[in-house]
Amino acid sequence: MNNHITGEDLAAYVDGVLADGKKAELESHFSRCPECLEALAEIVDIQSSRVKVPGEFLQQALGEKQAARKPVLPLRLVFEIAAALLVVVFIGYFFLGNNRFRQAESSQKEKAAATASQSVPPLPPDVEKTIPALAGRVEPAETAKTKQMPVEKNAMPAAVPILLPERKLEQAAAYKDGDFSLADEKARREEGHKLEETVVPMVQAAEDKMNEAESVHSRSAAAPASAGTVQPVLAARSRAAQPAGKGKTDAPLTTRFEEYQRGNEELYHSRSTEMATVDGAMQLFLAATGRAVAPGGIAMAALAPRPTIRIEGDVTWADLSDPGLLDGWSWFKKGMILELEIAGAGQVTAVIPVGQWERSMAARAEKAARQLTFSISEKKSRRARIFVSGSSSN
Amino acid sequence: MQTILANNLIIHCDRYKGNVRKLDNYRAFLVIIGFMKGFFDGDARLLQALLAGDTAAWQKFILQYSNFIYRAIIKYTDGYDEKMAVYLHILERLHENRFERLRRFAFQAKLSTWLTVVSRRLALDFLRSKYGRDFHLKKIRVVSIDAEPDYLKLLADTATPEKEMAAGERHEQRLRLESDLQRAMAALSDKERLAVQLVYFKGLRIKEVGKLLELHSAYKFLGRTLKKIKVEMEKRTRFSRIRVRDAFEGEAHE
Repeated sequence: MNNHITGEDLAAYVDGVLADGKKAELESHFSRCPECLEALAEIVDIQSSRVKVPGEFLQQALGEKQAARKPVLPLRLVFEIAAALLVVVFIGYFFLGNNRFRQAESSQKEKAAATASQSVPPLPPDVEKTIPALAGRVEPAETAKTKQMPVEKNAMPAAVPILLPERKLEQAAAYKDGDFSLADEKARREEGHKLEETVVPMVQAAEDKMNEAESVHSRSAAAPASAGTVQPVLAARSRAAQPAGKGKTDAPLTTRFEEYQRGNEELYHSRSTEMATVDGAMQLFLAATGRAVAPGGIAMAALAPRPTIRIEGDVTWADLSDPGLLDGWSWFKKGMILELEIAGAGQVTAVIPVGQWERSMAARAEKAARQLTFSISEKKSRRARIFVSGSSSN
Repeated sequence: MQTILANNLIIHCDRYKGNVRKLDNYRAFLVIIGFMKGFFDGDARLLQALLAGDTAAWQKFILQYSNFIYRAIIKYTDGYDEKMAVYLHILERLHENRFERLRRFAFQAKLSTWLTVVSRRLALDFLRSKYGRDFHLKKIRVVSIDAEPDYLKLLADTATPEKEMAAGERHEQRLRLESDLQRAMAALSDKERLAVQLVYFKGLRIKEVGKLLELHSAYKFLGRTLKKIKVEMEKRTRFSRIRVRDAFEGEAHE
């Protein structure tokens, strides 16, 4: 081959797209022609370079107007800012919307509970006969709501217990002080249990029939006259279905709070399994701000501010030899008071629960208090009082 | 688009017409990729628009391929103004006669590779027309002898008759060795010879050469080749190892 290799062939050889025969021919030429070998080596060397052309070269080639009309970076910047704003708006909407939803739901539930507890109409014995007739006239929105109830039922208890640490503790204090103004709540609950035993099976059976009837009469118009009868039934069923839940999480709030008071924190915190729709950092963020349940493994109580334990009397907090022991006193709530007798060597010799204590709780308190040790003193006997203060600082 | 696809089809058909049996899976894969490129390749669409006279396509071409042109330029010149002049010259040559050069591109290789080859050629033409054929000499840095007294000492050392005689002998021995090496390399296959030339004479990396020559193991391949050269040279060597070493003594200083 006397002629040199063409640019097209050289480029094709470098790219490795030539057929075997042509390739061998070119290799033979390269190995004998210094100029083509030089060109090949230089092309390979140039291709391995990663240098970029300066902007001035492009400006010169395209002209000033074109260069000015090339706002690649600003456009990207605008998109980035827009994306960031979108994320912020989404988070804000989700954050506020979730809160609003929860507030609306909790108030709605309170209303429904009040309505059901006050005026749940006794179902007639022939309810199985009447309900199917009414089912066809139920409003479509109402039926949709009925279908969504299991989902809401799962979401509702997750939202309400967030208020527990403050509101319910006050109620607990009222209980301890002998104020039984909330006794009617117990009565209501008992009434609910009775209702559950009697009405729920009937309503469940009616619901099955309603679902069957819905499939047949789903397109029929709503009957306002019948809706008034059906709504309390549905409210009662939704309320009554809560205590009849499958697990601990479906227990009514008062029952759950009592369990909480007895130290059964597992039941109290079991709501963390209920709300698993929000995950990852978002959920952690919401949990940290007290607006949602923490992700699995993180207890809400650990994130919520704890009431502070105070020690007054002959000894103070500073006299405690191991203050870390009080970190485990999560059962020690506001309203509980313990009087301690402390020996000169610092050991607790006597523990007196002040006020009304449950026996198990008092035993637990005594056991925990006896583990405390204080500083040594010349006094043979000292007295101190341990209680929970409202403020977060000690 | 149909024209582009048709061009690709013809290229691939021509390429594999002679040896259809060799069209193994790998080749078939390449052919499929070639067809896909016909559909999706931005290069082809860009060139199509460019040749149709679209001004925006030319601007896009400049933005997209200036890096390849620039890399070819900086291989041969350092000055900013000169680089700019060569760059604009290459663009002008590409643009002239309604993109005649680009029109000749047959989509056999990548447009970027082809453009690198063309840019190198145009840059060399430009610089040779300006500085002459040996324009590379322009890059040699001239050092003042007065400023470097060591050079004077070196020159004085080589100026003695004994040194000149020794240098002459070394030069003669080196020429003989080079001729032996040329003979030994002539006995190699084309691929072996090309690999040795690219690695040891042109300074490419072994990995790059292995990729270029499609060698499975470039290091082993080169090792075997060097062994062949050694055997071939030992057959006809007329020098001892010490004399060979002496012959190449001082090469590093030159």
